[in-house]
Amino acid sequence: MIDPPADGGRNMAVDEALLKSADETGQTTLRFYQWAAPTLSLGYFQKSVDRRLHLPSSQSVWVRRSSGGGAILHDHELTYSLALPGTNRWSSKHNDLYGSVHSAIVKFLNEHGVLAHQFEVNDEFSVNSGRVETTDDIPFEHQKRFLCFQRRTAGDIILNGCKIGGSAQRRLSNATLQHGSLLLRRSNFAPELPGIADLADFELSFEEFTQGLLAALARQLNLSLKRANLTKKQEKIVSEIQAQKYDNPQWTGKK
Amino acid sequence: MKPEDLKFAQSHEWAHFAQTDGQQIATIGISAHAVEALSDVVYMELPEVGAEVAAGTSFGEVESVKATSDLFSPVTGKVIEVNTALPENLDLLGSDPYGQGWIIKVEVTDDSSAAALLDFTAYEAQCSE
Repeated sequence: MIDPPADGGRNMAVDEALLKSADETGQTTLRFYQWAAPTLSLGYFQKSVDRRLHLPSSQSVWVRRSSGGGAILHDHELTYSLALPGTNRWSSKHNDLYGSVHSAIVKFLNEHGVLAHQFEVNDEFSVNSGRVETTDDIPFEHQKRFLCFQRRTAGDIILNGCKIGGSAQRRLSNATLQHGSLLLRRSNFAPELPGIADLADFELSFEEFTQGLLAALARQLNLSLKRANLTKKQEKIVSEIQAQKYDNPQWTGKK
Repeated sequence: MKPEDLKFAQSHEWAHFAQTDGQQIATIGISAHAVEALSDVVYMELPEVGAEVAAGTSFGEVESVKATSDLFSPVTGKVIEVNTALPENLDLLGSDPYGQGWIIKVEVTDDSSAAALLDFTAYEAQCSE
């Protein structure tokens, strides 16, 4: 599924509807999308008041994700979601999905001469270059840093020491949704985070990236792809989820 | 508590049943196997005292390795106590999963779900599959 840019509430509601389909019917969906305006997405458990910790993004619109991890500024970036069936929500096999998807993305970049690699725990850790606009008196372990791209987890996609790709998940009893983001270029709303074009002088359009990554992910995950759109039933579910959760200030601000 | 004295849900929550003043009370937590699989729980959200829970439905949420997921209640009833120390001391889940790592206590109002719970031997067999 390749979607045109949409606002944060709809993007998150579509992903949740696809997760619900995977949970109930066993359907696997790979989706690529962008955002109608630069949007900050908070990890599910992040506090909304913590937005003040990051001044450059404080004026952007925002939404809460259902997946974990840190905040992501969706501007010059490519977002994917993968909803797929699978039992035992706490099995380590779900963690392996991070590595599988990232491995395919790294291979695609390597084929284009971009020397990205996956982060290993023993790698030397360095936060992306540039000053981080955070409140100085609050101690930060790197895994608690506000922005996802200033954290490091094994398997993250690294280029020239900077994180350019990461993923997070929401798991139900019988399905997992994996969200992921690939930074294409630096955003004014998160200027401390360089993207691929800034680090490797390499630039492709959204369409070129999408087509290349579709093929790479299909190979890696052994998927047979068929172009799809939401069904009428799914559209109705999206509208309901969007109203109940992602466009509802009581839900987005509940933490 | 010893795991041999507990009942386990297939979704990896455990329950310890006791009678107090003629009322059946279930203490609920998550198994050592689950804690090991989760590897690094960083957030946990728990219900309020007084909340109604139903067997097989969510009573809380956790985040581990950037993945969020639900905690499912093995029983139906009303939450009478919450381990409020836990969200700030998540290490207890791993260091003492069947003791200080307990999560909630529930006054059981319908024990029909208990028959489907596994004893420790059966649960271990499920985990080794």
